[in-house]
Amino acid sequence: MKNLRVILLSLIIPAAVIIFWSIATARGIAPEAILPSIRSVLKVFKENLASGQLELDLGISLMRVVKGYFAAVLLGVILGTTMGMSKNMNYIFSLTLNAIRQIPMMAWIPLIILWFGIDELSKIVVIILGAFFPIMVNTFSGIRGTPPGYIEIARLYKLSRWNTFRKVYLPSAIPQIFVGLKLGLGISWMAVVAAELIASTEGIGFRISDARSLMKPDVVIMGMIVIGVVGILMDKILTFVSRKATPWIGSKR
Amino acid sequence: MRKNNFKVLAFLVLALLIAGCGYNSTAETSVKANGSISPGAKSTAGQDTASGKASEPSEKTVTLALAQESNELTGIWGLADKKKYLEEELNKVGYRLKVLGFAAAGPAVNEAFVSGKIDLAYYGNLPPVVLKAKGIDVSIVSIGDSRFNLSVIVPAASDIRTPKDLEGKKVIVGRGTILDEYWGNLVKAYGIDAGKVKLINDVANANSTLISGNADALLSVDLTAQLINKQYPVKVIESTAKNYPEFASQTVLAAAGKFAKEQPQVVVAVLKAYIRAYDYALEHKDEALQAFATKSIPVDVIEKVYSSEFNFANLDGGIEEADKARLNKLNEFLLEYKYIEKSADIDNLVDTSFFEKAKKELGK
Amino acid sequence: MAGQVLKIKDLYKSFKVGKDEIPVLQNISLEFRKGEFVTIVGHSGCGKSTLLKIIAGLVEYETGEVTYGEKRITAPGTDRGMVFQEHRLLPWLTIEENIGFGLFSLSKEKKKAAISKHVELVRLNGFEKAYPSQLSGGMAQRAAIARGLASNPEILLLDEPFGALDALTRIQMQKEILRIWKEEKTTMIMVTHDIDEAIFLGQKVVVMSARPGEIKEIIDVNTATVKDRGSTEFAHIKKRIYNHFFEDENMEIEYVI
Repeated sequence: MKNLRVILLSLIIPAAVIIFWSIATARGIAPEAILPSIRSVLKVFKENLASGQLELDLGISLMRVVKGYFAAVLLGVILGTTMGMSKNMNYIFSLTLNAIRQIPMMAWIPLIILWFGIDELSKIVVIILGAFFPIMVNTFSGIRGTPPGYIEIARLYKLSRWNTFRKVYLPSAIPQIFVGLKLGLGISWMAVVAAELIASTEGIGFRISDARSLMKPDVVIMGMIVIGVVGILMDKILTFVSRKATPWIGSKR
Repeated sequence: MRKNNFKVLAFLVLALLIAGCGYNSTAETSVKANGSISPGAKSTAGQDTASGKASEPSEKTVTLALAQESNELTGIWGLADKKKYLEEELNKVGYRLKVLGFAAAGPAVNEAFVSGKIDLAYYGNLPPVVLKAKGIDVSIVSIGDSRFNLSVIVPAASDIRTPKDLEGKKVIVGRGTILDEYWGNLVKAYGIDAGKVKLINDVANANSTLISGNADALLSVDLTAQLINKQYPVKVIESTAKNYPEFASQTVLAAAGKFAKEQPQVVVAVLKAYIRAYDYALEHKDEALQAFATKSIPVDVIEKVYSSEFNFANLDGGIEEADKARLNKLNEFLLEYKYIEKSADIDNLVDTSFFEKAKKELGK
Repeated sequence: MAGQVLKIKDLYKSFKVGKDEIPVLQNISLEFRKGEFVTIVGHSGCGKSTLLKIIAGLVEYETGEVTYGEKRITAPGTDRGMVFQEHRLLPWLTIEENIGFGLFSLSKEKKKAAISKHVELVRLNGFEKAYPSQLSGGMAQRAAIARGLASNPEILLLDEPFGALDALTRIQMQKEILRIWKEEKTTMIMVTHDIDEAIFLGQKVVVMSARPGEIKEIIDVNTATVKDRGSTEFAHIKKRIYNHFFEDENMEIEYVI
């Protein structure tokens, strides 16, 4: 059946990686300090799971993502919509936002840590800074991309500006908004890890940085795998939500 | 008002540092090293001009790493550099010295060892013991300061008076550095509830983190306290110079196993320079103290830290039984707190042969 | 009751393109009586569509008079419905939601009844819960017609409604629109570039030139013999209209023996 085929195909590369990894460690190409064996990574994984450390770290990082992401969604969708619907609003905001967007996140992080400390707030600010832009830009694009033919229909039926937004612009923009939401979620996850790598006292990014200081690459790799898996899961969940929200986009094509 | 101006200056500097140097900043005497650590890169090839070409085909380079941001040698090494002993001794074996600073300290130096980017390192005792326990071939060939004093630094206005007061506070302790052991020892000695303390692993920007108020205390060395105090009032609430001298650490010269095997004469040469500088310091204490100062550490700071009764004895560079015992204690600590899985063979780690040879060649 | 008359008098409309003023409609004077089916034929272009949109109230005009029952047309209204060349059904609404799109002033029951009636009218029973993407071109256009008629307008404006459909579907839809017209008795004003279609569907054919749009002729095509596509009357009228567009050529009439 088709699903099975899809799964098997996607597992080809991970399988190859594991095979090469085993060969490399069996041959002793590099000391354990550089390339840990799969067994030690699994061992560390089990330990962290059993002690509850993994859940703790993951939970903290995820909580930060949730807070930051939702703030970014709110800001991004609202700003993207206002700028899309009103030319004046667009002129007011677009120059400044574009300028901020050019600056890479890594340059912002030390400033943000200085201004907002090394606790929760700075991580959330970093997430918002990263996730806001794709959400805002895609919302804007979705609103602007509303086919003029539909807007004319709204005029024909004398819809108020608000109703035209609610019944035509918004539904038309939803698929594009979800594109932005997905991008924003991925970036949120990356942002929180990056922020934690630099200055933090807890979280999965912190766990990796900590392990690095103590020369524990097995923990580093475990952390990276966990991050990857959680990232994929979050993306899949959002995809599911987006499909439910757009029942009119069929799979007939 | 001044605090605000300083904050602005501090983060501009920070931004520049981060943007320019990255997490692992390595400063060179003449040119920036290409920051990436490439596995197995040979470090004996010369690279000292802006164009990156080898200067003189006959001269090779030995790389020495320091666990600090600047690449300026200090202490007896600084004296050896200023009196040109290093240059002389290395010239005799056809080598020149390249010094690299690692702002992220011990852990970063260890990574450089593992990837073959450096030949020698002068840093704390904890990182090389960790390396040995992980099966990496390194040797401790000399102990520069066998009583390296550590302290707990807090803002002058802080209400923290003793280490016990650190409960409920944020403390900067460099992970994987000698401060890690100091913290563990303090916790035991003062009965601190470690769970109530938030540890911050911020070595590269530790000073600004403390100054900006993002941390309440910093574990470091007395010298750091004096440095920070020039811009921001701090006080030392605990120091191995006054309490628990057995908690003092050691600074060591470590050599990559391969390099030590292949170029033992270079290791001996470096140690000869050290011994000569040490002998000079004993005879000319005042001049020595002057020479200890560098761009980053001015003379008045040196004088404040190293009082006139400064005993140079712990700087002689040799490795005694007491020093080995100290290393064994460190090894137990690392095992107990699961920094390492396997014990480090201290007898195997320590190699006094180079130091003995250096002494002999100097006719001592 | 005497039907309301849609009157257009001396309508002139131009658009600003850069610095220039491009006249699009000129000297347009027309009258549409209640229940009439009038087709407007001409090259595919802005003029005819613009005229329709002015009647719909979507486009403003400065010079001339467009009145419906003595009242000046200045904005859209429920008395006029419109169907476009693209069906313009909102993709996120089901067919029945689309058909009921303009019916917010009605009560729930009335709305449901109106939708139901018009689904029946265009023979889309069974497809109420479908999405527009699931319908064929012809079916979607039928739904658009249902939407246009759902609020019971007195006039239905159709802007090249079958232009996007294939030839066979187009013929089918022409029959459909005739049937609907006979049932609902709505005034139909249809713009088309298909001469055959104009003659077949309309009671009157308004021949318009383009750039600027002007009325060249109004031809009465309301006799039975004309409606037979194979008849000579049909061919004659076709030639008459054709000649307005291609004046330097003379179309030879093919004789069918």
